[in-house]
Amino acid sequence: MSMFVSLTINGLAMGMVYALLAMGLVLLVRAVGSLNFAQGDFLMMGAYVSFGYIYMLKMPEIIGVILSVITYAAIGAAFMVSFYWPVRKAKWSQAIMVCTLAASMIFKDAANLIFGTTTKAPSAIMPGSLKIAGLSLQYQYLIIIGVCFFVILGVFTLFEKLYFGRMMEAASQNKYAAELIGIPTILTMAATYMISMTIAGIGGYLVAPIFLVETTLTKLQLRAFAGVVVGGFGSLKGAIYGCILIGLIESYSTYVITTYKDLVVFGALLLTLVIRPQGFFGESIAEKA
Amino acid sequence: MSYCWGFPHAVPGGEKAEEPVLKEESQEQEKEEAGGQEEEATAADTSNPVKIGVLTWYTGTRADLGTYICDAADLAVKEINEAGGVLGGRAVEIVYEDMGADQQTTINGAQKMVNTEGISCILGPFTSTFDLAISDVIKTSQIPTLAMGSATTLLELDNPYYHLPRMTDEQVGAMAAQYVVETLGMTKPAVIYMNNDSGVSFKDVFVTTLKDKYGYEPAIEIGYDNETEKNYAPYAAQIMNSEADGVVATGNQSDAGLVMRALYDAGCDLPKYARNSAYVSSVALEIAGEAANGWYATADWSTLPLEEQGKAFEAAYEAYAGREANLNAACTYDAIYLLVDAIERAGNDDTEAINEAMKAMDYQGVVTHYVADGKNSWAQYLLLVQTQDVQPVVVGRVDRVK
Repeated sequence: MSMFVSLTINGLAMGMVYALLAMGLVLLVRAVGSLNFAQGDFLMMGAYVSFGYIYMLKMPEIIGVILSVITYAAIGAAFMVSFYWPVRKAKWSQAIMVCTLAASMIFKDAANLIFGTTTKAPSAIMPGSLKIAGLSLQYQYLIIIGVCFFVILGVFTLFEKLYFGRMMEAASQNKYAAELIGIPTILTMAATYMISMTIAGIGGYLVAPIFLVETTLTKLQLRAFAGVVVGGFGSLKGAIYGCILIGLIESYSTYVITTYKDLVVFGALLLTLVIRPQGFFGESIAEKA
Repeated sequence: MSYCWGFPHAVPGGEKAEEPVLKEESQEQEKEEAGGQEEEATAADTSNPVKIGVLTWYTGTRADLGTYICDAADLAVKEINEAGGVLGGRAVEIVYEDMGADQQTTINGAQKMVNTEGISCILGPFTSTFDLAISDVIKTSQIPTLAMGSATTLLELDNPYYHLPRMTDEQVGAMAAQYVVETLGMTKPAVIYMNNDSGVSFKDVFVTTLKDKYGYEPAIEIGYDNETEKNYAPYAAQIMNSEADGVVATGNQSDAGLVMRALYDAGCDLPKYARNSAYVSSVALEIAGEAANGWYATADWSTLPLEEQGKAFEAAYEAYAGREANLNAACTYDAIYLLVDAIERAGNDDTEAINEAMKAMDYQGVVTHYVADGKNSWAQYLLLVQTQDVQPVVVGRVDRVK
């Protein structure tokens, strides 16, 4: 029983981190109509930036986190200006996606150049474990679950419940019509990039003590992709549920198969595509104008 | 033992030059620094150098480890040349090539290396998969090479130009089984291993020896993909829920640190043993912190060696490179001396003659005693290290199982 609880907490925590990545992915697909293959790099940069402030510049953790969040937003805006804006009117519709692939390469090399190739090991936000009745739960995983819950709730509320979110949604669905009724689409677009980078960056900060700070962090985006497909492409709610499901499948699979657990995770992805291509919790993505 | 041809191997040393210094100036400085010491060695002749190829990492995620290899090779060559070079005064020159991040870059680097004029022997990759990748290149070129990986499959290659100075995973596996049963008293260890050639060959031999020699079986066997896995908490939970009376592990530096941390966080107080240096490396100790305390490891190298040669090398390396040596540095340093020893005994820099000399290797290095017997790798013992106060303390040595 205690192992089941341990694996569940672990899977839930990782699933929620994947959900942060996946939500940003869905938001950007809605906004620009193209997959962002640098989404994992957003998470990686989040880890590097917070490590830089807290461990290299030796700032107090709370100050480092606040500055990190501001930096994440700035990186999101810079990303839009550098890798989306120049190609937004390209005749080849996949140009934006190819640009994100190039950005991914650039970010990894830039991280190695700026921070060095040595693996960096930040301490857990709260070291130690909660021990109850023979059960040992690391505080770090509990903190991940708590922080991710509030971030997911915040983003979900913003986009699904608040007027500003609806403005962004409107701008992404029909840019021309949105501009006609006075919605500043360039600002809503920039806000989407900033939010996408910020939530991924927070994910990077949270997983850094577990996964360490290195460029391989970008690989987490594959699981976010899987979660988005399993949940239902285009749906924020679907992305969240799908990613949590992927996290749990991944964690439980270690009980049966450790070395090839990716086989189980991506097997679930393929199975979903075969039996329910629209995903389990999905709604069809709105067509871009 | 055969450092009898005049190299001050037992007392390594020398400062890394910040800027190039004219040869004459350098020699004058050294004479002044010697301050009346007896018989100054004549510097080697650089006009007709003996070339040694070194495959290292300049790029990719292991670029930082590559700097350890380069510093150690440069230090060894500096000492050798200052002591008069090889073959009656010829200087040794290192030719570096990059292995990058993947097998293809390594193959390209090896191809370029073997086509470089005058390469007499090569120091190969520290990664077994890369050694396997370039085996055909080495075999075709007929240039004797030290394969620095430890996978047992390297011994099974039909490649007469490959020589293995480090102990193979198979040998370490047998040694580990003997140690954890007879010394640490484990009867049902949990085995956690990286799922690459090196990790699996160790695990297979360890488990087989455990069963065949002692009649025990592991409580649980956990393999993981060391290229992608970072989250070890689920594995720690499974070990804690098994009936294991100890933990036996093998991995690379980063995953070693994470495994130690995960087990510590899960409240594991079982005896813990790792079969390789990764678990006592500075990277792993930095990641694991106090979670590393109490772990035993059989290691090629520790920064606090027991023997005088090891201590002298560590001091020389720290003075030269400005940081502590690691496994790659210590093994590279030994490897350069091994190659130069073979060249000296061959009497010339002909590749076939050097290859034959390699087959008769008998050399005491800073890491271990290297003896070639025609079928096994050369290393005769490993250090037994225990992490105490986040420091790797050498508590003895473990001889190879005969």
